[in-house]
Amino acid sequence: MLTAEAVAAFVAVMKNQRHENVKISGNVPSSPLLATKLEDFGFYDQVKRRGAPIETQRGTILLNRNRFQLARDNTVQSEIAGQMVDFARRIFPEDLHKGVFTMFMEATTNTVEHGSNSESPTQWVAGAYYDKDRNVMAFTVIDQGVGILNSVKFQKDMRALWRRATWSSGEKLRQLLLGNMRSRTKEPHRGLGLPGAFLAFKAGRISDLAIISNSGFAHSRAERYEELAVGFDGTIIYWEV
Amino acid sequence: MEALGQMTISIAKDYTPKPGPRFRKQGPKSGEEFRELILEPKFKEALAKGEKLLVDLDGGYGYGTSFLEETFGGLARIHGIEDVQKTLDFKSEQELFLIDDVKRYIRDCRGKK
Repeated sequence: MLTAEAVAAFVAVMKNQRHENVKISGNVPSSPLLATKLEDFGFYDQVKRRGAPIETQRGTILLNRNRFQLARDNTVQSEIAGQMVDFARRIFPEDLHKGVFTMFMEATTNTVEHGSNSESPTQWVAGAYYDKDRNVMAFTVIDQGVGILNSVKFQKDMRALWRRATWSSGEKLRQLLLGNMRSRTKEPHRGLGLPGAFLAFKAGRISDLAIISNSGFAHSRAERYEELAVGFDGTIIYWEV
Repeated sequence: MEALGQMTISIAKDYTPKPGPRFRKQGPKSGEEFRELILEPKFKEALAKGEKLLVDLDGGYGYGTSFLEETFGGLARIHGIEDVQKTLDFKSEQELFLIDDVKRYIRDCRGKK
């Protein structure tokens, strides 16, 4: 099965600045179903086919289809967050929208604040998809930065906690979501975003929240916080309404 | 219309219905920009007159936590917690929890005790 999140992940990898000079090539899948899905999700619009690549502007949605939207940037773009909300508004009632906006802002802020240990910005790719079969809106923000757990800021903030225990990467993510980073550092500037996302989940403003970062996996609805056998170079934040 | 002795700011109407990140460098419509261009001048005016300034949080798409912390926690870091607490009032009928959040950002503006 191919999902919209996977397409967003493909695009994030291909559009990563680190791969700028790397030639990526591939064939159209032999399965007609898979080929159609890739077309539907806008995958081919993101790869350089014969001819000029698609030019995109900041603050705009790259792709706007009936059931799928895709965007990317390296700053926090509330205009795109608003467009994602407008997309969700076509399908779901009014009271879900503020959760979508807040989550999008927290997720992209996470990339901008923790995606890089240097001054160079990290690009995020976001996808929004209406899953008709499950009647849910699924949102994904993916970056290929250093990952939350390898972020210098995060490591500094968590140092006091880490000295006391040998935690798995999943447990570190759980501690982050619980807001323990902020209470330990006494820094008002730190650690508001993802704990805020977790509170949005607890309050029912979003129905699911999952994070993969480095070798950590956190799935709030399933209460799973685990170490992954194969990690991800960057961060994936996924939520549903 | 503003009540006598009370000034009003609507973030959605006076600034943007789609508030952005914490700092200008992170993206457009930041909390830092809103605080400096709109909130702080009105706050100073209200403080000098001994009036209340009502901040209306309704009418927009929502907020990221960083925008609110930088706006109101940032104001308290600059002008002091007490003056901000006695001058600002908040309205949020669409998201009731926001008022508690904002009051906490002001109270904890220099870090949690």
